[in-house]
Amino acid sequence: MMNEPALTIKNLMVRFGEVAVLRGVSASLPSGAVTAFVGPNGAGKTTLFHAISGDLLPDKGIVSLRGKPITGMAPWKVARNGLGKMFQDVRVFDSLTVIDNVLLALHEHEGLSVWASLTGVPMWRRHAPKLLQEAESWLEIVGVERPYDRPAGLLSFGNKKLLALARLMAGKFDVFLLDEPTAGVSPVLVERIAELIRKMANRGITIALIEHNFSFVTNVAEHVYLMREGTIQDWGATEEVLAKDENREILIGL
Amino acid sequence: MENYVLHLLTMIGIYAILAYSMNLVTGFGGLLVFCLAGFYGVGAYTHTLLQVGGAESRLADELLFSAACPFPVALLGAALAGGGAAIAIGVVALRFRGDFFVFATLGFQMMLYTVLYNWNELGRGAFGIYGIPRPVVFGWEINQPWEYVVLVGVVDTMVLPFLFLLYRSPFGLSLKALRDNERAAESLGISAFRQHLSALMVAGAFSGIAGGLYASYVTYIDPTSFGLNESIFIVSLLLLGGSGNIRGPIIGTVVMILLPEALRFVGLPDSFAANLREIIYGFALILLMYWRPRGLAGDFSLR
Repeated sequence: MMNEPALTIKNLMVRFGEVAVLRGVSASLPSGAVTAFVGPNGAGKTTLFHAISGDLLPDKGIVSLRGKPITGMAPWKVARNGLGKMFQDVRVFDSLTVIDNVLLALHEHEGLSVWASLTGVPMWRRHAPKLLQEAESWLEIVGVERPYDRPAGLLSFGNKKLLALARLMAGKFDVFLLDEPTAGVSPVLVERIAELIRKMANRGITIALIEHNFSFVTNVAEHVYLMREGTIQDWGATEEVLAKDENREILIGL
Repeated sequence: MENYVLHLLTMIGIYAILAYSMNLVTGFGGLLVFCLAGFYGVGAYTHTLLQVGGAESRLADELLFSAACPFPVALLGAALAGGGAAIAIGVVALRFRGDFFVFATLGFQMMLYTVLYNWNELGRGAFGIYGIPRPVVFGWEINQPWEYVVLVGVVDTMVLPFLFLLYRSPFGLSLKALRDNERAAESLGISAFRQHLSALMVAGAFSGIAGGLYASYVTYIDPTSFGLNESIFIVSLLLLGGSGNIRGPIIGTVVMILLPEALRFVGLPDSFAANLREIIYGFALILLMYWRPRGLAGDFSLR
């Protein structure tokens, strides 16, 4: 890990009442690399992602994005600082058209205010064709099924995942958190998602993902954190961590 | 009869503003708001107080504040007051999520009504304010029913395009996204609080304008026109017509205003006609919700 980390987490703790879900997790995401978080169900992986993105307030610990502390920031502020997130349950905007889902991510945040929307009419009208084109090219890169002008709610689950990915890529984030990007997706799509993730990393985006599919993890991730019962059990280069017998035991229960 | 038709047209013009304002917040933003009549009332009272004052006014001594502004200035004041009230209420109510937000708006609606009803120095409380001057717009004195239709029509064509523009703007898109999935929208850097507060502010300001128009049309206002019933009526305009687009609210407004009027002509016995009308009208709404849960022409249903 030579690169300077894009995101660092120090001693993060989250409790739900009596239950300690994260018991002091520290990790760092090397810039421009893919890091996987693996571990059995209930290890606290999703909670960790929520605590990073601001969807959950950690009880203790520090999260910093490129040196800037973002602990306890509202999710939309964290996003504006460059951290994008794909939820486990996808969450596309069902009633918006496929293309509008991506367009929304393309708009400048300032352009979304009432004032900008009223005073900038010629501007958003004029930029519309350009933005539409850009949105369409993201959808094509990712490979979302056409037509793009139907409600996103009508897409199949796999295509919704792709759309969520396209939305994230359009959003100009430099750190992605992907919560189970391949869960419930056909093998063909898994391969395409792996390819996209590698492509993003090559463009310098830092990616953290939660995965249960180990061939996928070995395929895309340079680094792995193995979590168990709210702690980091082991971490390091992917092959090394996954090769250890005691780690395989935790993961597969052998 | 002719005047009666003109009266209905005027009312449709006024309620159209309310329905379209509500549509921004509810149809696009997905927030069910039960205090729009409160903003409407704040606008009506502001407009009135800005008009009934002056040296020879009999009411000036009775009221804490009154002035004699020209009609357009008073209408602008109504918009500012309605928007201001919406911000003040929104800042608090938007701290609550989901059903609790709905209840919070309900609570504020009742508070606004109670204040208007009991604060005699502000707006003569239950007695109401009479003698609201008829509008004078750039020297044109509006007296006749048809002149009101023209006035309301002109205001509508000046005001509603702003809302239509917002529906289609990036702001409208962000509201729809928040309605579909708030957390996903926030993960794209959109602040639910800011966008929702902005939507409320716009709806409050336009409702304020509707209130000003109403006050200068009926020339007498009292708090009962701006109570919870009225808020429910505005919500039902939208739910009946359908929300999330441009045709729904106007269909809802026309139907909701004409339906009770139509029942006037079916020859019900005088002794219980009024009550029976309400019952038929309520029943029609229930049937409609059953068959057309998205309203007559809606894109979006709350459930």
